[in-house]
Amino acid sequence: MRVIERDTRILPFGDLVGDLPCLDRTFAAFRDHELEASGAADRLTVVDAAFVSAPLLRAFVAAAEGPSRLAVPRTSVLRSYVPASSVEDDGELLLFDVFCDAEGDLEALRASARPVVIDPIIRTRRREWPRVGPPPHHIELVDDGLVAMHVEHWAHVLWLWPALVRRLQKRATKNVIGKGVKIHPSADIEGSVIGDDVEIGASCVVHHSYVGARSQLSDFTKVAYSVLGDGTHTLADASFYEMVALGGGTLTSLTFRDSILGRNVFLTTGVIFWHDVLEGSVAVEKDGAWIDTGRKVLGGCAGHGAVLGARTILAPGRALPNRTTVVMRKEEGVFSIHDAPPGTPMCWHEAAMVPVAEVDPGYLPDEVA
Amino acid sequence: MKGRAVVLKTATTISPFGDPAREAYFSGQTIRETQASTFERIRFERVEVDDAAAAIEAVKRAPAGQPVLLLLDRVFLSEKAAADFLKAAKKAPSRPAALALTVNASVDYTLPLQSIRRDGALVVHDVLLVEGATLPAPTSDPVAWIRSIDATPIDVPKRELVAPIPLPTIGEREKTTLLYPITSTVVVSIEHWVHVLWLNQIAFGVRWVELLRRRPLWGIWRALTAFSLNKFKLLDRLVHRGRKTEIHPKAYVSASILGDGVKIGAHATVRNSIVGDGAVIQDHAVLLNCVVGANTLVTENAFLVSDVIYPDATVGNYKLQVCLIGRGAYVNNWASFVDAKFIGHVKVQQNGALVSSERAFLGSVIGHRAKMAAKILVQPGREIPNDTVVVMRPDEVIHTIPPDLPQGQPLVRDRGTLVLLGEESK
Repeated sequence: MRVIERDTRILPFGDLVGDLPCLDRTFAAFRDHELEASGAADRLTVVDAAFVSAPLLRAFVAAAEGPSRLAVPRTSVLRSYVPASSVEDDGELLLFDVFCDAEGDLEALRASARPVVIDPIIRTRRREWPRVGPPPHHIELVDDGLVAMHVEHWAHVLWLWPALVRRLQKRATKNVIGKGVKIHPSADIEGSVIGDDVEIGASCVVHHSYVGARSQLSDFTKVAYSVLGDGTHTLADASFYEMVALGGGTLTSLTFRDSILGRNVFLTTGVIFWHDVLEGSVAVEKDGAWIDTGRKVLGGCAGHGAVLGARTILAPGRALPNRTTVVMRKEEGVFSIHDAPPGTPMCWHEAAMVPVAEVDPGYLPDEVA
Repeated sequence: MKGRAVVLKTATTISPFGDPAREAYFSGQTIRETQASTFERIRFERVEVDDAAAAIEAVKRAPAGQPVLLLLDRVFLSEKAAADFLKAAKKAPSRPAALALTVNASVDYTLPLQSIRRDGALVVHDVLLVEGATLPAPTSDPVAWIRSIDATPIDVPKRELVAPIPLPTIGEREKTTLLYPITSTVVVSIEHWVHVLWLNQIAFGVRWVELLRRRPLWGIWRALTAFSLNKFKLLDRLVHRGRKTEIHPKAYVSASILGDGVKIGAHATVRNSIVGDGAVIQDHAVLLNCVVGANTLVTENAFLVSDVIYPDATVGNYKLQVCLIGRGAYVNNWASFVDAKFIGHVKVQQNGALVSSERAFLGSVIGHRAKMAAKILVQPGREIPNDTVVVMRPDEVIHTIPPDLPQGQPLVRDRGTLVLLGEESK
């Protein structure tokens, strides 16, 4: 097994991709575990950002003759994981920087290795998209953990991490529960991996997700197809769908979807990571350029230690740097309440609660008109 | 054929959709289709005519000795109402005769803003029996013409159950109760979007009564196998599923009619609702007393109460209540629609004027293909036109993230970007 370190860093976190927490280990450990599990680790050479599930590696090694490079047909569902990555697309094949029985540096490998096409049967689940704009109004996502992709952008972390939950399970419907876990009897856990010493409150729902060690899910938390890293604390009635939090932090939101949060992020309820677009698809920034992800539903990213106060509203595909602190604009809050006779209709105006007539004399509000 | 039904076209359109009233939605069908199926069930030949002169001609040409119904295309006429009207009219030989209903909960539910005639305790609908009668000379306005026919009202008997629904009490005012009717004798003149909304809200009763009359053994079997007399357990058994539905075992479905290929996610709740073919209800979504059109997507955590949704829409709102949503419309999580008024009744537009809907609880209507993609708050009773696209104000969203933001210092949203607190524009 040889890993070509290319110093791939995931922005806005700034971490080396190998060091990012990935479920119960680091990304590098997960990647290497899959290489070992392929049974032919000594024949394989990969770049640091490449992740290929062991069954796909086994199929690749079995088909390889001489210096070989992993390729899948462009028609594969894996194509939707390619945008914004260095996977080569030659019009027919998607070529990954995963090599077998090849020698030399990356340039030499790419030049010498012959593409070996594998076309695995990948079980997918259908993710519905809003019925706006031209079809398709859904996307097929990998459901059985058989993935090959390069992790070079926060969007790739968001797409890959939830798909890897399945790699920690024997069967999709089977839960894997760690030691010292406290689960309220009314909670519903399905197809999920729960780390050690996790506390799950009343009426929580955790479906097809990973909840890291020492996490605390308060009552009524709902988590589906998500990864909550070690030590995440969710507040009551928070809902998370298809999102990734890298660990720590306190999270609460009415509905938070398709977005990624770094370590120790504080997320309040009024925060919106806008996640769908009416026309076209969401673009993300990479190396100064905006790259179309081909996805109609994709939220944003907040770096490590971000503190997101009320009414932080982020456009789709945007990433907030590490330790960004966003607070409410002063005039949107109510800091003082003016005197008025009981029953006077009031409204907020310049950080105060004032009679409506002061803002617009003669205006009769709809609620009482 | 046992008779002939002459359907007179009107120019009534439903604002803001712009659709003719006959194309209005009723739980998976249009009003025109409901009329067609009603006449098919009572074995009447359906003849659609464009104007009064053609109607007179069609009535004349009807086979002798058979009843001839004359009605407007905008009238929703349930099968039971049509059959009972014919039965009652047999005993009363005078023609022309008009279908009339005594005002009670089911009539009262949809009565506001209908232009139909009141005759004491009766409301007289534009549905007449005219065989052998002399009709007035044709005029250009079909509605005025049909109302110029001097018809004897025939009170159609009806049976109904009434479920009282307590309405929110605001402040120290008296408690109010909405009487929700469950009956299949329903006649409504569709003249305004509120009628489409209200008619679909009582569709629950119409559809269930019709279903159980057609398949009584199925209903008895479902009720018996509840092995309980508990009202809620019985209602849980009353779920009519189409073919190839996919319902998560942890979803809760009660007293609902589901079309073919409906998908319901984990922990979703569907109660007292009608869901069209191919609709997808995602995890944790809640539908209470809703009518959802075919191929509609209700996204995670949505909470919909008493809404009516045309086909192909996408709805994700939390607590969207008493609203009518057009075909292919899109309402996202943060678009909010106020559905109540503190004092008086919600006013709606009718023929350019603001009129009372006689309801304190009423939402808005969202036009076909309109997209509500912003954090907005819409006052009750408003009409959002077709193809409206609402997006966030540019200064309300963070679009551009400056490269060198100070770490750990409070920043605020300002004109689409982030600036230090205190440096924002006023």
